[in-house]
Amino acid sequence: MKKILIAIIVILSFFASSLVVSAAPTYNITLDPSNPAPKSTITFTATVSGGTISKVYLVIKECKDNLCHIEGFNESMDKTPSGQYEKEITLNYSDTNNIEYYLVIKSDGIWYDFQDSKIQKDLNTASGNSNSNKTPGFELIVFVISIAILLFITRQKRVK
Amino acid sequence: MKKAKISFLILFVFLISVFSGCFESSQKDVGNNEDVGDNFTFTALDGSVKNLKDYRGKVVILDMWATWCGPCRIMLKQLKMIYENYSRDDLEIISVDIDPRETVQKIQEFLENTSANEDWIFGMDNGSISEKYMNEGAIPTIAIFDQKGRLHFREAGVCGFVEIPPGLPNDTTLLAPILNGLIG
Repeated sequence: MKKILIAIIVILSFFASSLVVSAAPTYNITLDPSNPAPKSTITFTATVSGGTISKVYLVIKECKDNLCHIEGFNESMDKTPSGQYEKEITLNYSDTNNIEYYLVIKSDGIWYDFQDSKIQKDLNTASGNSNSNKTPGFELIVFVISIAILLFITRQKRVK
Repeated sequence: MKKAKISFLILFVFLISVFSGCFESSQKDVGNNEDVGDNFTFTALDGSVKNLKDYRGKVVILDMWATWCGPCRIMLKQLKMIYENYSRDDLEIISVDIDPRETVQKIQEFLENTSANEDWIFGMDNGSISEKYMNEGAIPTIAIFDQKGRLHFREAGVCGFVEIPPGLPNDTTLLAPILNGLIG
């Protein structure tokens, strides 16, 4: 009786082990700088878990409100000693205000495409003078010069 | 004899002018029937290969898009309004996915998941469309062909139908005047 029970347990455990399904991997990505600007260089760092990861690709598209550039990035990420995946990317376009990115991961020999859960990140378009044709400070220079001329003229009059 | 020669010459010149006129007019006729329009091919979702030439006599809107493109979804909503506003005798819309990584299955899944129920012609680019009409390398790009298949309008970015979609710049192009001008 005992032998039968042991045999049943062994058989059940064998079947249970064969029933284990490899779960889809999960990931978390951080950006450095966290608030990047158009045409800037960004370091993407991904922490991937679930299964045996053999390849990680980073897909990025650059968009603005009303269009997306078709020419994007599809780059293989490098594994770091700490087990994370990293890639440095320099954005191509100056007329964009957001990027969309996601990973494509090969885990346990199966490719997982996370396009449907892509992440959208607004770019920092306010920094710098790249979008402005104005010359801040120029008005101040004109003002100082005009004051100097005024002082010079009044001084000349007083001397006379 | 002299008179006969002169009359023969007059007759000769007359006949030449008549025949050359006929020749010219026949050439003109050939020119009038010649198809001067553009052409491109794409693979429809059912696997059949279609041409722009198949839609001669109608205004055709070519919409270049991809499922991952957010602004393309705004454009699809505008196209739906256009599709419902014009007769199929006058206008056809062809939405061609220009991303070679995408598949028919991906497009079908996208269309099933969107509630817009777009039922115009969808297909995949074979590479020639994006090369020919997507100069800016950006999507959505819209091209409008007249009834003879001649390229009448082309623009990258979302266009509105009669109103500018919310959140888009004030200089967004509206397609209604262009389409009404072509369809009349």
